[in-house]
Amino acid sequence: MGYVGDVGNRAQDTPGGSSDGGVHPPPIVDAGGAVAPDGWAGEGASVGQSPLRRLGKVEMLHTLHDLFPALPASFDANVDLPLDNDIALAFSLPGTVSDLEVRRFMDLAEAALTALGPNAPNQKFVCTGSDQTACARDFINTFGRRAFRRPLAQVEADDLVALYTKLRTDPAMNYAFADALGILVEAMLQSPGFLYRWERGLSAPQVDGMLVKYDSYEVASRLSYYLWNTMPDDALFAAADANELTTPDQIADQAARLLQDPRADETLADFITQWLELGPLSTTIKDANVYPTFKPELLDSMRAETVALSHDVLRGTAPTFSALLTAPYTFVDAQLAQYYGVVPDANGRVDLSGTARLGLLTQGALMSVKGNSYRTSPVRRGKFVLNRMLCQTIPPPPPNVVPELPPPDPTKTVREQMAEHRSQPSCAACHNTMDLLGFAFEHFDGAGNYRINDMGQPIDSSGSATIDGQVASFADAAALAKVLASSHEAHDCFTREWIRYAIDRFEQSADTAAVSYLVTTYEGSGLDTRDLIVRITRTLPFSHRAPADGEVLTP
Amino acid sequence: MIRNRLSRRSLLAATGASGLLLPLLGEEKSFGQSTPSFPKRVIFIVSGNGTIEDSFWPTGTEGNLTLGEICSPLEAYKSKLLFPRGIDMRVWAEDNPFGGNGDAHHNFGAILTATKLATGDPPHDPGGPGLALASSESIDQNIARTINTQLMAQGQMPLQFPVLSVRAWGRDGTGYATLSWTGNRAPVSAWSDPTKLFSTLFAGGTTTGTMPDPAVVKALKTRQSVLDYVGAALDRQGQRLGTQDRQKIQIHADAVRSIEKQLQGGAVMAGCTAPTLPSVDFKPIEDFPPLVKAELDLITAALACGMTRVVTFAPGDGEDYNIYFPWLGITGPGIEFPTRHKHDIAHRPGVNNVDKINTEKWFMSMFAYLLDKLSAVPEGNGTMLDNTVVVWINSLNSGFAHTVLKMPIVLAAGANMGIRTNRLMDLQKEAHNTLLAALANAVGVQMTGWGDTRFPGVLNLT
Repeated sequence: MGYVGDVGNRAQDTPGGSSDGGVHPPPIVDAGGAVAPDGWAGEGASVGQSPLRRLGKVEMLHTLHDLFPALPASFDANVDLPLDNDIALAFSLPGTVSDLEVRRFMDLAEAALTALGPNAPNQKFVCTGSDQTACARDFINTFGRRAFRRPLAQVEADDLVALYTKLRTDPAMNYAFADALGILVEAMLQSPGFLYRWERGLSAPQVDGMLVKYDSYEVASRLSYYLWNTMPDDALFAAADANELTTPDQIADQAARLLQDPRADETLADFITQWLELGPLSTTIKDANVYPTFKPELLDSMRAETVALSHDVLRGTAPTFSALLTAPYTFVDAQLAQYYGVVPDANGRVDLSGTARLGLLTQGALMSVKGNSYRTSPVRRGKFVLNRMLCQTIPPPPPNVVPELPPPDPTKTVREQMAEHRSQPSCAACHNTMDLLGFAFEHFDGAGNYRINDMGQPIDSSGSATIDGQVASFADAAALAKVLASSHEAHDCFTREWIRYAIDRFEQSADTAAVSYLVTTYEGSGLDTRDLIVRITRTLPFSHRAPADGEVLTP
Repeated sequence: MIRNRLSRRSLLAATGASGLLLPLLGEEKSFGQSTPSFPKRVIFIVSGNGTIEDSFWPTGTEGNLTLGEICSPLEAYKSKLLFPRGIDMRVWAEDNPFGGNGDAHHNFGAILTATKLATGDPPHDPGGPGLALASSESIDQNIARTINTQLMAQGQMPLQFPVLSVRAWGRDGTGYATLSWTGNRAPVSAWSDPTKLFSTLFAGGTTTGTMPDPAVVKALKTRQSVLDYVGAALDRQGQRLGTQDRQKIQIHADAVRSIEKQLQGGAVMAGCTAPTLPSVDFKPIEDFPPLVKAELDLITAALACGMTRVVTFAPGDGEDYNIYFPWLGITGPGIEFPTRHKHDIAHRPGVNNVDKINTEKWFMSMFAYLLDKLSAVPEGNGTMLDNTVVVWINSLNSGFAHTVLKMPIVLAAGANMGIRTNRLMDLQKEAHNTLLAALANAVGVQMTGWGDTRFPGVLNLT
């Protein structure tokens, strides 16, 4: 799963669904403001709309590997995957399907079967009876349940049986039994049941007052794609079959199980690297004349450093936001240790006390990806802090009013260059905010290393920003990290980032109760991030959605 | 099933050195007409990151132009060129720049639609550009739909590829890179892999007169049967959804059916000769020039074979973070960005703009390459270029200031297109909507305006 940019068009005043007429216990305020212990929403509960999603690139690959354990790892590199409309920053939003995407789905399905060869499920399937069509139907229902992440409706199986018959009997095709089943597998992989997060299938939505409650199969996939980036495992399927994914406790118990599993490590790393916008890191280039000790191989080491510290914090005894930002230690491999000039212990751990480094923000990965090729970039670093740590926005430069700036004077420090930059009134409004945050990182050069001077002058890394409604001044990046670590605004932002990651959409105003609840409980738990990751699954935005405009709610 | 109503005329393959015979499928004879008329084609090319004005626009008077340095590769086609100076992307410039449009590096979704971007699509990083999705159908799609309707009304087969959308690199499926849209927030992915495009265009075999290979027929029939199933599954599942989701599913189902049609066409496209693709990987930056040429070869072949009449092509995207120019001797890290890529050059064009001018000039040499190919396909007494209009639009004026006023645009129009060429037009704040409408009219799709109704009318190109 990932961050997405798609927002339901209306947050409030969603049309009411028909009342389900059922008798529910009186609302009990619990998770997210209004989900009762039995999992049904209380009266007046609201939640945002949630557009239909398609599997993203990573989700699709993981799902194929789970669906076909015999699929070789080399498969991934050799297929042209449908795009997520990636836009480098951290989005993962599969968009509408054009004809080229349809071809990609087709190629992907065929390539999967080819790569599986004799290990494909159709080749392994044995028809014991004499009625091959009945066997085909069994195969369709068994494989289809996993491919669609839910049981198939009768009519869906009928369609596939009809396709099977055509494949066997059409004179131009005339497939043998196992080959026909292979084409059925390809067909199912191109079907909306596989491609879309559509685990409700053909059934009517579960109407819950004004809302729609996800059914157990939908919840199973919501959990698995959130925490493992893939299809549900056997335990989740079993829970869904037993309809035991309906109450907040049942859902959260499964979430806790998935989070505890090492398979969630990749999700934690995925969240952290997307949150820190490290996507472009691997293709970052630095000028060898300016940074002679930098080597491109270090970029992987830097990413690994960020992942290792996050893993240590989030899997450790104090998995807190503040620890992520202010951990006085890090983990480096041999070449990064040499680059930084530090001496790690046998586990690669480096004690940072007494140094300028502190936590994730001062690591080589973020400093490099937010640095230019030949110098630092207070603008990009400051903008990053505003966007990602404080959930504040900076409008883009207005078209047609950006003055042509003179090329930077290379004899001046970056700070001096930026001062000229901000002397333009049309720039100053935004750049004052970004630059004064970004200056805090001036001790870290564009390639992530510590430096004392800039153009022979001692570095001034002081800055200021309005945080939690007050002007905070800080002497350097470590001081800024400490301010952020204890900032309510930053806690609120970090909580929102996790919510977006979990529910695959932006929060909307109808989700306000759940967001406030999660921010409050996060701070109340002493910033226990593992608790937050699980607790999100107890709330309405995870278990419910508002009906879509024009959706057919009646059975 | 063979389009036997179309006469066949052999000619040397314009697009490859193979020497195989390429039949002409495009000739149409109307009842009662003795002289053949050829279909009109339009190619929309959009390239990003702006230009250097002084080196782009020509000087001189009508019939006596002196091309700017950037456009100098087009010298041989000067008599066919029209430079409409003074066209503004008003739909972008006159909207609140912070109202969802923002940085004009991300305006691809508003160029051929000539409408504002989609609303309700804020980016995750609100300081960033979002997905910049378009809000309406693009003109290439509209023209192609109309042409297909016209063809079917005349009892002819619709075009196999109503629009052929191709790009060289660039990020797919967003308003950063996508020119062609079937509607609100519905990008049409462009072909970016010449090898795949080749095998798609020529899937049905390329040899005149031979029976299709049964194995090919079986493979195509299988794919058609599967797609038939997929289309029905989409229809059924889409019934319950909300309006927006249902639209998404409808777009998917339409795409499935469009592929089904393409496959049918592929089975009967016997006779078309494919261009010869160079045996390079197309992935490293050094292969960018052969990539662009291969794509232009394929575009020419698809037009010559009658598979399409409407093409969009983008040699890159609105940002061009991944296109750099080792073959021009421009290497090393950039000035504002890690690489001296096209975007970096746009922001920092080099001493006396030398890097910017040289790279833009290279793109114009690719334009000239396309014109070479189009004019190498005989058509009647002339060439295919006579019946084609190509418009090359730069998405920005200045790549540094991100301006969209006085957009750098140059048209190459054949003799039969009803466009008066060999001149520079000086316009005042002309909305680009009117130019697009004029191009639709030039290929026989009548319209009185295009896109945002605040900017109505048709630019007079005669």
